[in-house]
Amino acid sequence: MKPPMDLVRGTVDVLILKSLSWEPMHGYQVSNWIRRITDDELQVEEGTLYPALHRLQHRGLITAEWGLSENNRRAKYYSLTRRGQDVLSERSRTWERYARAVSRVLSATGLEPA
Amino acid sequence: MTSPFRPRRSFSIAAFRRDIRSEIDEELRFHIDRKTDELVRAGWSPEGARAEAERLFGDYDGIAGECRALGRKHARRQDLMERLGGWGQDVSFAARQMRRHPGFALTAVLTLALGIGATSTIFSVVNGVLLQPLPYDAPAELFRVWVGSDRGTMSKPDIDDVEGQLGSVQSLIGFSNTSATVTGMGEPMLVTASRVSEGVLEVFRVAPALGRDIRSDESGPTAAAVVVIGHAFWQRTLGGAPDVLGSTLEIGGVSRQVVGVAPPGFDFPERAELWYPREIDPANCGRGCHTWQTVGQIARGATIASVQAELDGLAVVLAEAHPESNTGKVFRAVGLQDDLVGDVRSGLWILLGAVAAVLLIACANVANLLLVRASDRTGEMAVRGALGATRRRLVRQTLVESALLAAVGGALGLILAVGAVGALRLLAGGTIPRMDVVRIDGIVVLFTVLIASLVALLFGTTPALQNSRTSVASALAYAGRGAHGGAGQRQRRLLVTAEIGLSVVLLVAAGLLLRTFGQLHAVNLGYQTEDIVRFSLNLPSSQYPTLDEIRPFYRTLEGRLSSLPGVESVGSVYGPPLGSGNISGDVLVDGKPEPEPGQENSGSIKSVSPGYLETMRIPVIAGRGLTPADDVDGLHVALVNETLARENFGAAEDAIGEGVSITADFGYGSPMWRIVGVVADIRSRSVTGGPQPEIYVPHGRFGPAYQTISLRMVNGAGVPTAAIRAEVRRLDSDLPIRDLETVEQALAAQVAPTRLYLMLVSLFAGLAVVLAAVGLYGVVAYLVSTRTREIGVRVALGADRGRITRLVIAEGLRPAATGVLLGLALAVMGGRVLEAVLFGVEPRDPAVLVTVPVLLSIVAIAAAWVPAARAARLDPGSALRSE
Repeated sequence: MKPPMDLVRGTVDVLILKSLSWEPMHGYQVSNWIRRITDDELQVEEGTLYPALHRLQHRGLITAEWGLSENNRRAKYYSLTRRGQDVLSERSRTWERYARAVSRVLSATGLEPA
Repeated sequence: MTSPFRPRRSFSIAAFRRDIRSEIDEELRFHIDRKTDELVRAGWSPEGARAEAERLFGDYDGIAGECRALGRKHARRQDLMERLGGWGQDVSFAARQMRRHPGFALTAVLTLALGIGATSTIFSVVNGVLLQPLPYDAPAELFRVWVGSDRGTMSKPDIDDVEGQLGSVQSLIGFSNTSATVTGMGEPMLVTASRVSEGVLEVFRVAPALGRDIRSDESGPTAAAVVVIGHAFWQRTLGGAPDVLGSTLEIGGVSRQVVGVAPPGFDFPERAELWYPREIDPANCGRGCHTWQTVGQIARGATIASVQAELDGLAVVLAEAHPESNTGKVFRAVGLQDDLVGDVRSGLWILLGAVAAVLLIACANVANLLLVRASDRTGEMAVRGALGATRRRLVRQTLVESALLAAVGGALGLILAVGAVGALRLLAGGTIPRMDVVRIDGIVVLFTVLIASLVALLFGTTPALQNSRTSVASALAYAGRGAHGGAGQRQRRLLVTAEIGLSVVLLVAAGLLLRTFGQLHAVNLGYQTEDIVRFSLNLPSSQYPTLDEIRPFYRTLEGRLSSLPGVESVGSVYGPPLGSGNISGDVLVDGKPEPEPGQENSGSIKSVSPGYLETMRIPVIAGRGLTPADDVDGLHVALVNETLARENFGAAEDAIGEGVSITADFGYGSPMWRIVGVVADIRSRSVTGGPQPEIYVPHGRFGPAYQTISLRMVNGAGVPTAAIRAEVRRLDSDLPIRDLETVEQALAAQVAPTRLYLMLVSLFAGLAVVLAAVGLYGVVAYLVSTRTREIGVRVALGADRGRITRLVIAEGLRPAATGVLLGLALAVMGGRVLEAVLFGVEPRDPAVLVTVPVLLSIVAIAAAWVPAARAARLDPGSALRSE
């Protein structure tokens, strides 16, 4: 297994927002989901994850609510707010444009555009 | 966060923090537990799994700390936003209130704008003229020395002793102002100049823009023909030529070499543009020859007071060493700025006091308006209180409304002040020195903000507390009936009392100034000021070296001018009344021993042409006048005025035939004069100063080359400026005409300060009376409106309508009467401060002290009459139904 890649600064927020776009999750689920969905390529460290969750919450992009977990323990569940959804879709568009542009550069075959 | 003023709040925040902490722990612990479970499921031992989970998690305390810090930051921001939001709500609520009651808001804002605007205007004058230092490097170190208390000039030897012997004096130079004729560059130009004993730039610690300053060795018995020119003069007339140094200027018939150019803006003294050395002849003009003004620098660490102390010592020493010239002579040191603005200081402070009174009245009026609104809003406040608004919040709400009114009023006032300052600069430019530097600057804006804040507190506090004090139950019980509010009504009467009291003070001040103005115009000057046009000429000694050239020039000119159409008679004088030029000396009586030093009778010399007395209508009361023959040759004869005759000879008739001589001359000699007539006294120097001893000598026998020519015009003939210029040019095309004016204009300039104070104080007094009348009207009108029911009952029970009118008026007049009495007491006690600007009237002038209360009583009755009459017309039926 290759070691997970370092996360580019600023991408953690958008990953967290995306992970919460289907249903409320607690921090452990968010971390697991990202790892699973990227086949262990990306891993959000706990030291980054929790401060990021709290920051997003203070900024009103996500809200938190205490609920019961699968094993009946109190867990803090985060869910996306309206503003969070807007920010997520805007950020994903930017990110995709950026990724396409970078990959076009890296897959270039000559000096002139294909 | 733990401010002592917010105990409840800080407690809840501490609790809130504890919650944050435990929640973070719970969240992170949950994460580690889940990881442990996962590892156990993967086959780890429970202990190993927990250790591994904790290891994988990383720096637990660090992460928890970071989350807590984020939480605290967020909480602080939340708190701030909440508080700002509260203020924002208050402000927008206040703005809505203003929009909803535009009449009230407009009245309050305009009243405040007037008060604040007027105050800022007068403050900007006080600030610019009195408070701002002069625009020099070390303005506090500049000073002047005068002889005696009446700004007497100094002699050169005395100046040298002051400069050389006093440790607290760094330098002291002498100068004398003149207007110099510059020729050789087209039309002759008249330029303000100063003849100096040494360089004046040095005293002010400024470096010349070009070249050098005048050196002290350049003045002396034969002064060097050099000149330092002003920067503006250099630019204007020489086009700022860089090679100006070394070139020559024709100044008063003398070729002077330009040795320096003063820095831009430097124009001491009195907008001088040329500085050149003055001849000093110690043989002819010694220690008793007082012809120098002075300016100097005090030494480092010295003060004006320490200079004065040393001057007092020096005066004693000099009196012993030179009794003939220095007995009884005292020197007075005064700071340059004091010297410049000292005359208007008390006047300006009085104006500021007057305008402050207007501002207070404006505040009282707005407070009154707010109190009415407070009564009207009792219900609203009670409901808000019942809905949970704290008393603090309600007070704050009212204060915010006041602050908003003050802010809008202040901003509007500042705009008003900008316009008013412009107008005032035009109006007072020639009357108040330094008016040109008066403007709305940062300090004035700051002052305005301060005043507006103060005003907001003044008029806002009482109604605010009034609002919050209302108990919910009683207010709701009374709501809509408006019949309560006894406390508010009492406060409103007090406010009106204060307003009327202050108005009385202002009216008394205006009345006293009006009387002063009248007295100034009623002063018998001793000559007829109407229809006299005058101008001055100075014949250059290069072309007119002796009386034989000077005399024919002036007599010819007088002759030609007197034959102009519209001219009744012409006469000339050196030292015209209310004009410039004065020469005085000691009077020596023929046959009497020379007076002891300090016992001399001084006399002012008027050197006049034969037609002068007739032109000025100065009557001869004994003997005869001067004739054209006296002007040319024969016995030296002269006239004296009544004061001189009385002081020296007992009575006017006794002076005839006596001989007098005078210890001053213009270089053409001063013989023993035989007195042939006595003329009536006139007020020569100023309108307010009494007559001085004067001797009238024939100009043709005494000089000087400088004369002021007066033309008595046929009534309504106007000023023949062009004809005068043409006649002067016919005789000498290089002579500029100086100070062409009517005597009425000179007179107007004399009374200008009083006129200005009178205008402004009257304006303020008028404003005060109007505001006070409005205030009184408001109180009575409100009284009537709250007692509609009671009046209705009385009318229904058959009360006489006239009686009701009287009752209501009496109610209104009670605070007015108290106010008048208080104001009179204040005016009588404080009248002293006005003395500096009064003339011919006592601060306790009975006419003023009687007229003002009568006037204000009439205003008060009128203000109370309107609502009272309305009350009497009430229809009892509708009055009773009104509630």
